[in-house]
Amino acid sequence: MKKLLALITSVLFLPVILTGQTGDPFVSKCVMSTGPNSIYLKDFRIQLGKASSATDFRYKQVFALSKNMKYRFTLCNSEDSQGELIMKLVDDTGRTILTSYDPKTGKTFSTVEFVCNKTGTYKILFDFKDYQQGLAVGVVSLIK
Amino acid sequence: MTGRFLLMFFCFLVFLSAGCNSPARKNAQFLFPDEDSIPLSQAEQLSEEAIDDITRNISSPVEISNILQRMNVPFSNSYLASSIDASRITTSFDRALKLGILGADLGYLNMYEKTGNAIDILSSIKKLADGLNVGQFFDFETLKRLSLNKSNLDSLLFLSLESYNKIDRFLREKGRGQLSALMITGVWIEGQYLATQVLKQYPDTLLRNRVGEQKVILNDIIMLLAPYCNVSKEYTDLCRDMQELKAKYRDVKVTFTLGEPQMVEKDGALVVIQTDRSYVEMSEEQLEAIISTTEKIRNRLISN
Repeated sequence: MKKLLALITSVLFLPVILTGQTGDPFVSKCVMSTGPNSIYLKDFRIQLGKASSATDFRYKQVFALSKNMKYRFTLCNSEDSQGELIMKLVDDTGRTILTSYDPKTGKTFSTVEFVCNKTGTYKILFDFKDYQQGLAVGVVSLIK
Repeated sequence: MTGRFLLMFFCFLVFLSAGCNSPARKNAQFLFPDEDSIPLSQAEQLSEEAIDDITRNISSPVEISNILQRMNVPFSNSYLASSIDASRITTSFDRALKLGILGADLGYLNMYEKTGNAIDILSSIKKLADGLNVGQFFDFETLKRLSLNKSNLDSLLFLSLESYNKIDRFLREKGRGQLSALMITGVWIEGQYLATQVLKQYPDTLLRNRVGEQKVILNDIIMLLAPYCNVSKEYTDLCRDMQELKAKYRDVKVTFTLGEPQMVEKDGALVVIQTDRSYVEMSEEQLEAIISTTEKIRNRLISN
């Protein structure tokens, strides 16, 4: 009877677990790695397949950044992700302000800090290096 | 035999209840009120890409609170939308708008570590979110526990903002973009109210410029609302309010000079300093008009 009750209880709580009341652990883990004095603002979950060629980064989001604010972009790759997440920031005139990857040296940064001096709408673009497939999270936080 | 029958019966009940509580299932049926679903023919159609290009500034109150703290402005309850009585709100329009307004207040409270005061706001947020069928994105018990335990403020801020981000994403994905637009508008107007009210008491160049630069963001808010302005009187009134505020910003000049970003590597991170500069030209009269119009709109929106 005890076994039956235990089984019924576990089954009763199953929907609570399945509906996902808690956050995505991968996102939470990435937020935890954003470092001290940072305040979470937004996360982007990026999952892309391999592309043989692409003219630009394939995942795009728009975000308002404000003058006199310091932002931190943290890029976290899933353990089984084949590709390495890279990003670039483009302003409202279409100019690239920063990239986390230097194709000349091949160097990538998983943390990029940005001292913003112009309030506006910016495009945050993500892709995986060499257009590989991958799963990753990008987190934008405010540095206090 | 009886035990097996009981087990099967309970499993059946659980299966039914889980299915009924699934957001996806709700959306597939007809559980949302009519006003939640606006046929595309009624909305001025913007392409999906155009809508995606409009910024959704949920985090702005956190940034404003950060500026206030840098200015050493003390916390004040008087800036909060305390008059909102969530139990008296019956329309999705009001629920979504006030969900945004209270979200901004929650960000302000959390940034000032006034987490004990946040409990009442959290309860109201829960009611509003449940009324919109998006309560599943708030882990209220954890938020309440974190509010009572000041040692984990980062988690509290993260969970609060993440919940709003999830709701925004969910509403857009489920074709309820008008509610998302209302929520974003609520967040923005409350952040704007907070900034302008503080500016009245504590004149400061940084905050003044921040208010002036909102001309750029206000245009995005107006674009976000534009497809729904003719849906009903309450949407039309809100759009008219935003246009009135835009008119107060008309002669405010925001200019830019361009520069090459400076990049340095520090502790393994890339640090980029933008050398572009923005300048705000705004007279005292223009600022006063923006402050009073913001106050009028925000107070109209929070009246039940």
